[in-house]
Amino acid sequence: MTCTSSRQGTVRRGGRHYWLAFWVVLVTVCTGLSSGGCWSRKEVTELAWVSTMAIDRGQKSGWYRVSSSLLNTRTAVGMTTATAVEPPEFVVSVEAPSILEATRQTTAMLGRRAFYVHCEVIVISEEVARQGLRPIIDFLTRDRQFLQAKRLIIAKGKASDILDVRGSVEERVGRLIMTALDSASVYGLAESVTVGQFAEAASSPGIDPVLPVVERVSLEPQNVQRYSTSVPELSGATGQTEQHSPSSAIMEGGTRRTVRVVGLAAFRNDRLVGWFNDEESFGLTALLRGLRNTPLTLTSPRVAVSLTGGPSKLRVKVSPDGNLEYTSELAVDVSFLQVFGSLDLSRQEVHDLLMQQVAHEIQRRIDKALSRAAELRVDPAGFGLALYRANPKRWAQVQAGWRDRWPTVPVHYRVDIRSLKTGLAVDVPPVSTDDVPQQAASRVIQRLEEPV
Amino acid sequence: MVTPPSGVSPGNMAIPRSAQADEPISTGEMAALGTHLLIPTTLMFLPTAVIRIAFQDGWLSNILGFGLTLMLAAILLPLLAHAAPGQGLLEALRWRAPWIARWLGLVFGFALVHLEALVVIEIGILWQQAVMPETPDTFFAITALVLAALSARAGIEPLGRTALLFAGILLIFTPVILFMSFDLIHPAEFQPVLANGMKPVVVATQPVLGFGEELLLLALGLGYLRPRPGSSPAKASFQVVALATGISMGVTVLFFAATIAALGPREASRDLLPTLTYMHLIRLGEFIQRIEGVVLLFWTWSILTKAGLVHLLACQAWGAVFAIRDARVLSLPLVGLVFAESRILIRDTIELVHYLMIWGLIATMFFLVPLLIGLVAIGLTPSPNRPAPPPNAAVPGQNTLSPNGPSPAPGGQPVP
Amino acid sequence: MNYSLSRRFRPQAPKQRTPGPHSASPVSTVTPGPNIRPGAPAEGTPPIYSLLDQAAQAPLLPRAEQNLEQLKVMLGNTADLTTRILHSPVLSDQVAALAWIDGLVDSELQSENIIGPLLAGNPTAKKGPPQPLLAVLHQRLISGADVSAGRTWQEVLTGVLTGKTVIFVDRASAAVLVDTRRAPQRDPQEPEVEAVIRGSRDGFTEDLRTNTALIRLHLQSPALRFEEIRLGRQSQIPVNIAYIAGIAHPQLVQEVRARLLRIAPRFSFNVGSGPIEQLIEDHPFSVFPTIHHSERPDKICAQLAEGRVAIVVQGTPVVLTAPTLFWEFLQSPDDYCERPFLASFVRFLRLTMLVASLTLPSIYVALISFHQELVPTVLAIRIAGGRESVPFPALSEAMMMELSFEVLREAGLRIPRPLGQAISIVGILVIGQAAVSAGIVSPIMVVVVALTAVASFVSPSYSVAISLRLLRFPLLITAGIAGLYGIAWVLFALVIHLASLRSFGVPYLSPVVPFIGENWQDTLIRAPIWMTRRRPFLYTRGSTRVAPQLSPRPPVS
Repeated sequence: MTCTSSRQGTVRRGGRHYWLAFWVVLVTVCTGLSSGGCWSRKEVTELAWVSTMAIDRGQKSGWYRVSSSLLNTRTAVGMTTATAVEPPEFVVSVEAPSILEATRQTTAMLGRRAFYVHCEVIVISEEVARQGLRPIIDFLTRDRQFLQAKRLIIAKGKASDILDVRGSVEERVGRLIMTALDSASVYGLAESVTVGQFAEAASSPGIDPVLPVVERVSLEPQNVQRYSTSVPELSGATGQTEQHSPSSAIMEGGTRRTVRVVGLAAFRNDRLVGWFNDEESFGLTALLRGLRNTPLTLTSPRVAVSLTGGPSKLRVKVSPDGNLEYTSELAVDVSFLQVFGSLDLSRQEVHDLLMQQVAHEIQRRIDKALSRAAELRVDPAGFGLALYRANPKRWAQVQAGWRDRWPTVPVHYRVDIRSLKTGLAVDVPPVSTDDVPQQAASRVIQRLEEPV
Repeated sequence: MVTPPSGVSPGNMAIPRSAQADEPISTGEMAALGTHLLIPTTLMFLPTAVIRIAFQDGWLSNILGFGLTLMLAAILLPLLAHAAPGQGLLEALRWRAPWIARWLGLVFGFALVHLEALVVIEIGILWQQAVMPETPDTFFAITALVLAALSARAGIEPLGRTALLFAGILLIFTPVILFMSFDLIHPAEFQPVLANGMKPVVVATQPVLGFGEELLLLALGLGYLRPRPGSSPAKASFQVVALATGISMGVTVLFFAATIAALGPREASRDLLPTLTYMHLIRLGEFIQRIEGVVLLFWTWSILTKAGLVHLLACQAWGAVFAIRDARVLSLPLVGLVFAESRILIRDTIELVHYLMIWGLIATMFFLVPLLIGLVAIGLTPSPNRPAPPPNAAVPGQNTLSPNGPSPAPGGQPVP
Repeated sequence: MNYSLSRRFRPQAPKQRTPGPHSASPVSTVTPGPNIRPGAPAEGTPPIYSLLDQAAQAPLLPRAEQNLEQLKVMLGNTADLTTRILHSPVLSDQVAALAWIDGLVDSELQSENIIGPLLAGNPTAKKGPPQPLLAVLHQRLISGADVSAGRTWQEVLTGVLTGKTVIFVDRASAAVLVDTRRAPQRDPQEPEVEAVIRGSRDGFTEDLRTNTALIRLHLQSPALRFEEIRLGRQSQIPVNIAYIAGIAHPQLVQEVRARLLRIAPRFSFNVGSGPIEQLIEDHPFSVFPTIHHSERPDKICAQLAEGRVAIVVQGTPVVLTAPTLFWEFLQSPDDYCERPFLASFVRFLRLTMLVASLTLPSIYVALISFHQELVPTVLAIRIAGGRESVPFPALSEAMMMELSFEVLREAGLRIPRPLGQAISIVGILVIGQAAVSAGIVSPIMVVVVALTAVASFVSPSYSVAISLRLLRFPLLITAGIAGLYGIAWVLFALVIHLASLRSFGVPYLSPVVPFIGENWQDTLIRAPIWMTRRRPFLYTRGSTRVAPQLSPRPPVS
């Protein structure tokens, strides 16, 4: 109460809380230190840093086989011993009825606490994905070590194989897969999808998720000598000792391996149902995420272009009698990067023709992707979601059986080529033949039609 | 004669202060306190309750709820300030209707202890569930409570200044954080869909209103508010309400929308702390892995400010019950009460989420209704002879400087 | 509550003014004025002091030789007291007894101004009507500039001990005190700890009058006032309060005066301005200094011109100023010489570094032992790799390194300068190279400690840097217990504490909180000079400093 306060009262009260604060801090510190405080403390040297996790189906029904690729912290600061070059990562696999238990078993096996916070990529095998990802997603979003920003990928075949690669540039598997995903998104093959995005798409009405698919490929055998001499004790390793053989990928047959993103996996809700090949993935990515410097090579006329644009704008129109009609617009910038044969790019006719061809090709790929999706009975492009957002009442009516229904709905595509750039060169290099340069545009166009 | 610039109350003048229990604070500081009363909990726990009901239309109910709050508070608090200028609710009642003051003090005392227990639980959940799972909940509860008690003991003025400082930091960082997460936001996600009509939006307004009604608690602290020279208490309290609600609404709605847009409504609805999850997603290049740590720091400061203010107001309310002259002596005893309540109130997070979903009803019962009763009582009882003017009123003539040296006024003397 | 500590001073004030029937202890009655005389003996005074006190109250004796003897007794026949007895022809051969402290007195001045005139015959004095002896001495004989009369022993003692020559004459009611002072002193030099690039190059010395003269030199305003207060009943340290009348708030001046007067009769520490600062500050238990100090006259003058009050103390080159705001510790005189943009940037840098020097080690500990998820992966692995061979937990490692740095710093202050080089090399080797290669410290920790150390020296003020250096350790421990939560907890408590501090009634964190937008022009940013129109509001009421239309512009052709 502000009003009246006697002098003595204030003076008596004065100056105490500093001492109080001091004592409180002191007591807190003492109790904290003595009574086994520092509960959540975990020193970095008590941790085993997992860079990538792969989930396969276990031997027993319903069990998982979880492989973790662990970062070797000793190599991180270049602390190499004289005798051997330590590998930057090694793999540990365990089988367990749940992923939580698998993480604990990994900890038990390593003697250090498996630490998943810096695990950026989670590889899931095809088999597991076909059974449905919901329980895995639930664990990943619930545990605080796995957050929604982790990326999910699908492995064709065994997921642990993906961990067993040694790239040429990037030494660590996690980074390798991330860079592969990044470059794949440049190619228009796939986009990295986080756990959160997957879960949202899987649970939203009217859209089905997709995930990038990777597979392991071999590189040319090279530089094997260096590794095999420097790690002599590991040269006899076989596939059996995968758990603790860091360099087995290289040792085995002496090949280096890397991962490649091959396309997208189609999901119905949370279950894997099929694949999109690279052309279909191109089309789907153009629809969903847009193109970023994505290369495209036309066969006739033969030119290589780089595309930037998208994602497409999907609109739905509901007619009064309930019929649906979709329009989708995709605006793309095109720039020429390689031209085969002699094209006079300064001609307007040539421009128009090329733009038309590019638009056709993009549209063809989108059509392919959509017909594939219709065949798989999935809706990755989110036609249903667009309807839900625009007209939730109509969506409620057509929701049942939407996956069979949407392929019958007319979709009008328009691919607009916004601009055409020719790079730093305007013209193709002149060929020094006796031929006099042709002047007539008709001649150029005729040439375009010629088979190359 | 120099008029003081905005935000400075004459109470903040140089010159040794008279000994008095409570220092008045400026409109800006009071508004900052109001903001911290609203922001930390609305940012952290409101999305949990609202998105579960209204999905991506949740931010609409947010605007609606805050609008209602603004209306309520902007009518009631200036009314109180007009009826009893320079006094808080209980203080005003104490000179008019002592028994009502006691009973209302009891109601507010319990409500505030309850609210502080909730705040303490929320701090525990924020840190224990989201950041440091091995650390016992009790540790966070005790440390937060001790700090709240200490800051309540330090008085309204340090609290107000701290609040102003943190409010400034908050206002600077909000656009920065939103800007950094620009690429995460898909605007299509939060376009209103209204799949089930307006009903969920209206239903979801209820918890928002509950969180907003906490602002009405400032009625207890209105005695601390010193209007700017030339402004009336009613006007000043209106400014406080408008500023606090406006800032809180702006920040909350922005983060709400951004969270929904970045996570998607369905993912956000199953999250315990959607805003924190949203912060997890933001990366500042490769430099700081997640800005989460910085955000957690600000949140903790903000929620500790709230705990301190609620603790101070609780002391006031209990002080009115026991007719204690300087209620801050209750600061430490109350720690035990709040701690006990925070241990028995909520058992798990699901209970908390359910509890937050009916928070609107509880807040109305325990914050709004007693305030209305108090206002009616003030309106019905005749205005008594005011016991004394606020002791720290500006001394006339102080604003001029005598040209040569010391003034005859003794410096160390309290201003009578 | 928050001013409680400033209130601690206040209970004394009413006691002094109205000693009620209950005040048992005979507190001396203090009269504000330039010279404070000691009153009745306070508790705990040594017996010799009370004897001296009693003697000092006594009047002078009628005969000059008696007076001289009395003075010798009072000073205990001290070796440096020099006396001389003259028979002056001008004073009709009366005895004039001289006494002075050897070493404090300029003998040339003395013989020229006192002894010469006394011994030389002055015929004019003999002629006219007989005049009072003292008036003759005063007005005709002594050619020294500063001549005063000592009517009590107290005045005589004070005069002799400050370097005056006292002349006793028979049957005179007072002694004559002539200023012949020439105390040993050094020339003003640039202070080493407050080096600037474009500021002035002089610095205060140990002599009070030199210091006040330096202030006058920089600030030749008729409104500049010095008020003298002597501290200590026996030590009688002269202290001057300096302020500019009309700018400094009168109540502020009054408060400074009152606080000094409070300690004046009982002050007995004679080492520099530090004890005075600690006896008159608002918050004795705070780690933060609420009174600023400087050795630079230009800085002090700038402070005075802003309406502050300076306290100049005899015997130390360090001048105190009050009130002090926290942000002052980020400001340097150089800021005003540089372009505003650079100056603002540098201030921002200083603030960041101040915070860094407080929090960097604890943030490091919190991040690597609690919140590894907040560290970028590559860096986290680097840190983990570096710590593989370290046997200690991060907290102990950090404590060890911080402590050893503090030891090195403290040792560096004491070690003679030629040895300092060697020690710093050893320190670098011990802390850096050897510790890392021995595997007891991780390389990143060395980087953190080094950064912290460098950051703590960025602040222009040594005193706030050491406060924060001290606070680093509790913060480190809480960070080791509760990670970021601990840091947030301590920082919140720290902000609450800072917000409750006041320096002579002015909120410590103003003008940031309470927010006074006008005064931001010279707080964290340094606006162009012509824009900083007003003086700080809180202690000058925002009077105009720079006239409008002062902004430079090209000539209108």
